[in-house]
Amino acid sequence: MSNTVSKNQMDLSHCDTAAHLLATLNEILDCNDYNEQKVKVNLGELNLTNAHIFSLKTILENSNINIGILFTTSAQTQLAALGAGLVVSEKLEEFYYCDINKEKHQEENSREHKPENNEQNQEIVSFEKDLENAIDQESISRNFIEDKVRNTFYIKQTLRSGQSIDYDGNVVIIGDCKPGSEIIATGDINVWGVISGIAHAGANGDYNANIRALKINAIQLRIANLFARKPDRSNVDKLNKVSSFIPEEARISQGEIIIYPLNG
Amino acid sequence: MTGRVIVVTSGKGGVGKTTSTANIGTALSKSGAKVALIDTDIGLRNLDLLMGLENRIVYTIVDYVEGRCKLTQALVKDKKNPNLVLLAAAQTRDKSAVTPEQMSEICEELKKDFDFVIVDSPAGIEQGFQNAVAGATEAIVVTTPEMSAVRDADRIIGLLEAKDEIISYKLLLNRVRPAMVRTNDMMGVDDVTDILSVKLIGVIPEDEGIIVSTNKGEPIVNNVDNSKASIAYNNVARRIMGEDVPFMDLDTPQNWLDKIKNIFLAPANS
Repeated sequence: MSNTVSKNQMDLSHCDTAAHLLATLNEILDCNDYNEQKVKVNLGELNLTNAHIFSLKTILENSNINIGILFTTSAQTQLAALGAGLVVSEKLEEFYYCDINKEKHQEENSREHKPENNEQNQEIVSFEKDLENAIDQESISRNFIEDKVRNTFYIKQTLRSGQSIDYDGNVVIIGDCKPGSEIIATGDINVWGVISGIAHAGANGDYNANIRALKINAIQLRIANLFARKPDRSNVDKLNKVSSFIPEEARISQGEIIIYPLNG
Repeated sequence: MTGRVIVVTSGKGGVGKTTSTANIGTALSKSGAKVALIDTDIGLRNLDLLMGLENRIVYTIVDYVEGRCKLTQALVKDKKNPNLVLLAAAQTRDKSAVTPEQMSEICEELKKDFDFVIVDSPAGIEQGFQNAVAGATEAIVVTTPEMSAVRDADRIIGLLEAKDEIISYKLLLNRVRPAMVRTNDMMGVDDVTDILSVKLIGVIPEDEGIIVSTNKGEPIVNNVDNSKASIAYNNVARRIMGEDVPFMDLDTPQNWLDKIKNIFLAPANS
């Protein structure tokens, strides 16, 4: 089979449609024995939906195969795969090099959601000698990937007073966050609605984390170990009544949390 | 220094425990005493809102008992009065996050640094109430002149009597409407004290200014124009500090319009 290079690789990058992918996948599974292995899957630039990724995962799991890491350059597929809890990389060239079944490398995968350990990780992980140089050159882009690899918690619900989300990764909320609610995330916080409660992004000390919402009216914003509070004024809020929103983003600038309008 | 720990409680909800805590605490601190307010209504906290300190809370009482911060870090300083601090409740937890033992330990700790520790109790007689009274030696029972509130206050007084640590408890009658009392549509001060037979520490008239002050996050005793409720709360604070302040006459009209009205109404009333 030209589709596979070794026992733990599955190269599907030449597929141009989901149907083609399915057919190829069946072919590969018929001809190869991947039993209980972690497999690298290369999807190339194919755009897949959440449903596609889910089916792919299910088909593989039925054949006792786990996806160790998924390679794709498509942003849509990356999102879908992250949603399905998979480890994703967009560096297709690494597909042939990295060996996911090595124990040390698995350790790295499990740590990939904690970017503050980056330096440590790079010391721990030992690659095969002939690949060392290549990896060093790519270490910057690897860090970038690891940021992206953070899990994301997606919730479609208004967060009311007393409810809280504490998540190791990014948080996406479709709905408002009422006063008295609390979102704590080690990554970014995105709210498709009004934040009026407390939002803490980069809770493990990530200064690059940010908070985005249709309207930031939060009683407190925290990013990493910085802290900003709403100005003192009447508790009765009339801000919720505006009919149109300019989305806002809070991020750290010169040691302070600043809210920027996102209007172009 | 050994301060006094006073719990403000009621049994029934909505009678004005939190409003009274905020105002008595603020009034005490304005007279120079060092005051710590503790909100024990974990999960339904409001005291921070009334004080206008919600945006300053970083650590709560639960963070302290679970060892995430020091007690001094959890104390939120008041905007205006440096003598006044608030130990806020957590909003995302419930009453079981703190035990009565931990509460009394906190009160013991605060007693060393503050003249008054005022504990705002939640409604009910369950764990929240047990937590609130745990470290207290004095109690203020808040009630309104309604049968339901008085009945609940009676229950609370029974519970307080059973606690050896509580050496004194006094009654604060809130939301009195003198006009309704005059027409016998509402129980008067004497009616309530007759039923409960507890010594009175204050009578607070119903006042629309309280709603405004709650929404603003500014206790009414901080207002410059002295409303009756504000004066009444200041008097309560003075009585707590041992002054002998006569109870004010709630029937006195407040402004000239009321005075004129009263001239016309007086013969009809008498």
